[in-house]
Amino acid sequence: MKINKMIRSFILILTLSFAGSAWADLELRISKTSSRGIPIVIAPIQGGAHAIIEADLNRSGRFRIVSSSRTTNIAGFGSPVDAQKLGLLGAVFLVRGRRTQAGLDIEIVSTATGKRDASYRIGNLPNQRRVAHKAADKIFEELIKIKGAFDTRLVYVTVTGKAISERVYRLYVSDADGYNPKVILNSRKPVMSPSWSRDGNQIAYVSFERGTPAIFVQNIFTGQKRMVSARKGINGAPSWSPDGSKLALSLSVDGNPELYILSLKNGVFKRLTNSRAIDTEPSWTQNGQSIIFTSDRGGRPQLYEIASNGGSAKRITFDGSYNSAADIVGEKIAFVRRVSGAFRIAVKERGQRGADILSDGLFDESPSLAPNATMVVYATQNNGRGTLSVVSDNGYAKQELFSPAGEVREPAWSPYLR
Amino acid sequence: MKSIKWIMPLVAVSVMVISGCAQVGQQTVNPANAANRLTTGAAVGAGVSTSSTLGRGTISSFGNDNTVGRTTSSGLGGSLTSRGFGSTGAVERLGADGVDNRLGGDYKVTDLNDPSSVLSRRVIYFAYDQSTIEPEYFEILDAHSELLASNPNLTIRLEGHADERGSREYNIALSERRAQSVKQFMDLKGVGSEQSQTVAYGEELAVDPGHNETAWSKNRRVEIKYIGR
Repeated sequence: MKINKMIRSFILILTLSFAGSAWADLELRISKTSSRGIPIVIAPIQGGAHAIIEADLNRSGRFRIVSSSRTTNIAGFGSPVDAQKLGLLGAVFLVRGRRTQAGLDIEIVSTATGKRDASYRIGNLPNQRRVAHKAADKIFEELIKIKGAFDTRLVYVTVTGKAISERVYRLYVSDADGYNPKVILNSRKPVMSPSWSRDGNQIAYVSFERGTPAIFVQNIFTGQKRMVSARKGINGAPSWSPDGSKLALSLSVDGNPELYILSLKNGVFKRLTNSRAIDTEPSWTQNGQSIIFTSDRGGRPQLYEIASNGGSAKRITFDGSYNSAADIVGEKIAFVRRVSGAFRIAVKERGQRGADILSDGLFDESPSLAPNATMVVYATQNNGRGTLSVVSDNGYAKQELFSPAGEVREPAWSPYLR
Repeated sequence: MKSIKWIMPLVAVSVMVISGCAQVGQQTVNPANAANRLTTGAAVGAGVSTSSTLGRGTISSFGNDNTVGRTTSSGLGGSLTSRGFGSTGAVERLGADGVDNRLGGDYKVTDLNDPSSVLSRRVIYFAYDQSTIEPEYFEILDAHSELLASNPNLTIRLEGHADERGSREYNIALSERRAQSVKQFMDLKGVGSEQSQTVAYGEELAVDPGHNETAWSKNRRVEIKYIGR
C-alpha cells in the first residue's frame, strides 16, 4: 500500500530522445496513476520492454502496477516459481519476458496457482517499442477481454512561432504514447482536423496553404498527397468512412455549412443535411450506417445523429448548452461539453442520456477515442500552452504529452495497425 | 446623398436622446421590416434594416456619436482604445465637429493609405458567439461600402475569426457567419456581390494568444483585406 501511494504521488517525466530534431520531441508526464484495477507485476526484461508494458497497462486505467523490484530471483522467463514468493508479490499476475533474436517472448503467470496462464511470441519490428506495445496488447486482451490498443498511433498538429507571420504548422504522426514523432507536413498556413483512414495508412486534413481552406488526403509513409475538396467557402471537418471509400465533411458551398459525403473514387459530393444552421464535425459509426455531428439548428451547438444515406437528423444530447466535436467508437461517444463556463471532455454511451466528464481543464477540445474505446486523447491547456492528454474512459489514469517548443493540438487516435 | 445631409444633426440628436446604452441599434430596429429581411442572421438583418429605414445619414450619426458605441459596448471599448487604431484622429475630428464632410461617396482609393481616414480601420469586432454587427462599426462599413460601390473594380476578402473557446470546426463555421454578416451588410449598401469573398479562419489565426476576455475580444473579428486595387 505504501508503494501504491508512492506511485500515485510520483510524477514520471520521460524525456524522449529521438535522433535529429530536439524540438520535435514530446515529453510524457504521467499525472495520474491508477490505484485501482488488477494488481500486476512486470518482471524486468533485458532491453527495457517491461517499462513500456508497465506504462501501457497503467494508462488503460484497468491495472495497478506493482514494482518490478519485488520479482528478484523469480524474474526469469520460464523459470520455476516459488509459491511463497509469488504470494508475497501483492499482485494477481506476474508477467515475465525474454528477448530473443526472433523478438520478444512473454508469459503471464497466475500468482494464485503458480501456473502459466498464457504465453506469446512477438516478432521483431524495426521500431522496437512497437514490439513491447504488442506484448502489452496481448496481456490486456488476455486479462481484460478487450482487444488492446497500445500498438497504435496518434496524428496531431503543432504550432511554433508567436506572431501570425512567424507561425509554422506541422502535422505529426507518433506512436500512441508520443514516442517516435515524425513530421508528415510543414506549412506556414493553418493545418486542421486530421482524420485517419481506417487502414491507418492515410490522413485527411484541412490546409489553408492556398489561402482558402482545402481538404487533402496524404499517405503517411510515402508523403504522397492529393487535394480532394476545394469548393467555395468552408471545406472542413473531414472524417473517413469505415470502408475507406468516402469522406464525410462540412462544406458551405451552398451558403451555410452542411454535411456532405465525398466519394474518393469518383470525386462526387452528395449533400447529407439541409438546414439553415451550422452542420459540421461528422463522425461515422463503426458500421458506417450513421453519422454523429454538431449542429446549432436548435439555437445552440448540440450533437445529432443522421443516417449516412440521408434522412432526418435526431438530436442525441440534451444536457448542457454546448455539446460538440463527437468521436464515436463502438457505442461510446466522446465529445466536448461546456460545464459551467469550462469546455470539458465527456463520454457517453450511444442511446443513453447520461455522460461522464473525464477532463478538468477550461479549454479542453478535440477528443479522439482509442480504437478499443478504453482511452481518450484530447487537447488541453497547461499554463497557457497547448498540450495533449490521454485519459482512461473510467478516469482512473491520465497522462500529458507536451512539446517544449510550442503548441500541440488536435490529436486523432489511429485505428488498429495492421 | 447630399440631399439628406440636412437631416443628420436632427437624427444625431434623436439618437443621443434615445441612446445611453449600446443597444441603440437593436432597440430602434424593426425586425419585421420586410423589405430588408435577410435570409440569415436575424440580428444582422435587424441592424441593416434600421439603417435602410432611416437612410445612410443615420448610420453615420452612430459613427459621429462615438462615445455611445465606445464606452458602453460590452468590453469592446477598452480594447478598441488600447488597440490604437491609426484612425483615432479622424474619429475624434468627426466627433468634435459632428459633421462628416466626407459623406456623399467621395472616398478615394488613395484614402486607403491615409492613416487618418476611416478607411484605414479595417477590423470589425464581435460579441461572444455572435455574428451581429454592432452599431459602432456601421461608420467603418459604410465608408468601405461607399468606396467599393463607386469603384467596382476594387475587390476585398473578408476574413472571419473566432476566439479559442469551443471546438475548432464549429468556430470555423461561426467565423464564416461573421464574414457573411459583413458581406451582406456591404451587398445591401450597393457593393457588388462579386467584389467581396469570404474566408473563415475560425480560431486558427488569433492575434492575441491570451486566454482571457481581453484576448478573446480582439480575436473575434472580421478583417477587411483589399486584394485588388
